[in-house]
Amino acid sequence: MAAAALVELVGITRHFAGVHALKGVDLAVGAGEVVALVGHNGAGKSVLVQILSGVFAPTGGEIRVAGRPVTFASPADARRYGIETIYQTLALADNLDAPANFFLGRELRRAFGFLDKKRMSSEAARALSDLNPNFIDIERPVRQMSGGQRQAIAIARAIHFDVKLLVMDEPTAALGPHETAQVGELIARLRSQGIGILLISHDVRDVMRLADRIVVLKNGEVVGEVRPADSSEDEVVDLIIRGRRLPSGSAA
Amino acid sequence: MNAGLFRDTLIRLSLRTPLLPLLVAASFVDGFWSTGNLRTLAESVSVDGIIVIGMTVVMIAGGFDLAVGSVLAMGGVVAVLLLPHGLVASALGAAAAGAAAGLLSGTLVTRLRINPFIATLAVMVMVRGGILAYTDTRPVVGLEDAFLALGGGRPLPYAFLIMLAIAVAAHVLLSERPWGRHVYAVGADERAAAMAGLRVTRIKMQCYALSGVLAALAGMLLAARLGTGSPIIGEATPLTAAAAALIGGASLRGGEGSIPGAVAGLLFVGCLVNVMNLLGVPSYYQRMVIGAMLFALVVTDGVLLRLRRR
Repeated sequence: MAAAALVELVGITRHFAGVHALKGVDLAVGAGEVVALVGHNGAGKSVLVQILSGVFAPTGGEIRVAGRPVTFASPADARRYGIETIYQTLALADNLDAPANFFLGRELRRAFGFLDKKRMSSEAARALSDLNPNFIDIERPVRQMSGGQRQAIAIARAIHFDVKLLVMDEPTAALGPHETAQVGELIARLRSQGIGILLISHDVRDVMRLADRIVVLKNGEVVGEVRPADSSEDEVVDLIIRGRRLPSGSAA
Repeated sequence: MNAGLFRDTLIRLSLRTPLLPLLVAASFVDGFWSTGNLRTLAESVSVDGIIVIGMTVVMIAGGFDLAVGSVLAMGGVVAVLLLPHGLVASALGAAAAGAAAGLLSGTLVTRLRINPFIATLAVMVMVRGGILAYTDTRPVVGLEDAFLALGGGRPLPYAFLIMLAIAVAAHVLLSERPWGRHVYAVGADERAAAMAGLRVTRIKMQCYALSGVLAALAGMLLAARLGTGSPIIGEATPLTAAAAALIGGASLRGGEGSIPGAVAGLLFVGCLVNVMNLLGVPSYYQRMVIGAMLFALVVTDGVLLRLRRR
């Protein structure tokens, strides 16, 4: 990549009470690029996600946005730089309705700071029906909604507010084949709009299909990086398990 | 609010809060509808009401405030002690003391991650000990005219009007401002709220501070009515406040409850106590009744949770 990457992690480390969860990770995502991050449970994927989204601060290393070093004191900071995260848990407030969750933390206001409920409802309804045309009755607690509807809310709110980098943590883990295909279409669409995507997954087949580049994380380190075009599923699996490539048949 | 929603709210409140049946039953008690008794009722629910509003906000945020009773007493004492500097200084002083107690509770709960019941129990005992020591367990007397006038008011006590004004303000804050949304979100799922970019610690601190300020102001109004700031009052206040908030739809799990509900719950508890007074039920038995009711509410809360999880 010649130009500065959209978002770049340089030498990121993170310790938890003596445990080295990340040991100097370099990772960059460019505009309109889909980068997949794969690895076993405990490889450090979710710590990396939470560093990118501002939940944790790194112990060492640097986060750069458009080439400039930044620090995130909270998830709100990361959002301000256009980094949006769809968490595996979705991070919805179960007692609030869809519009309230959609605008949580960035509510639309009328004069004197009062909530503009009407405009929030109509904007959320429009954004949600874009993703899921069958999504009706959005004004009830999301606790009462289906898994697909809940995910639609989490996705819709992540892409609505001028997103530059979208971090998707296991977006297809809880989905059926039809919904998985929809997520694939969505990724393609966002990519064509120049949005960078960091896709965290353990499903190698999915990742081979969706990503431009696959970064393999093991024990808190990047152990390899491959392009699906000139690689195979087996090679990626081998990297995940053993931390190195197959001794033979590797094109690189 | 449209008429349908208003009706639904009314129905829901009367299902959860059997206020109407109680009022009907109360009608058979001699003297319930007398002007004197209604005034007594209004006086008793206004002080407790201001406290219940704060308690409800804390409970929506997923917390609890056991310190409201001692902060009530502290507010009265501080207000009386500051009376020589004027009514405004007295109110500001009481509010500041209440805010300090609330911020201490909030700090224990958020930064030190102590269970809200234990944290506010500690603050409750500390505040009570402090005012008992400072006053040498004796009430402080405040006989300024303006102060005593604040404790009066005709036909409705000023305290009652102040309570209603605070209730309306708190309701607007919770339902029409972003802050209120955030309080509900924090109460439902702190982690999710933090991931959505909300400042969870700050919001919870604000809730506890609000509860402290309201409890202290309630203490000032009570002291104005009695003409003294007593260091020993408010022992049963956390009990009453929690019962009223729970009847009104709040939950120990957080994320639920409303001010109109809490006010209805408070009217229910207030009427119940009032009727027991009229019938001559001794006050210790009254506490047993309120305690048993609280017990039943907590059990119901737990059963509802289990049903919902299924």
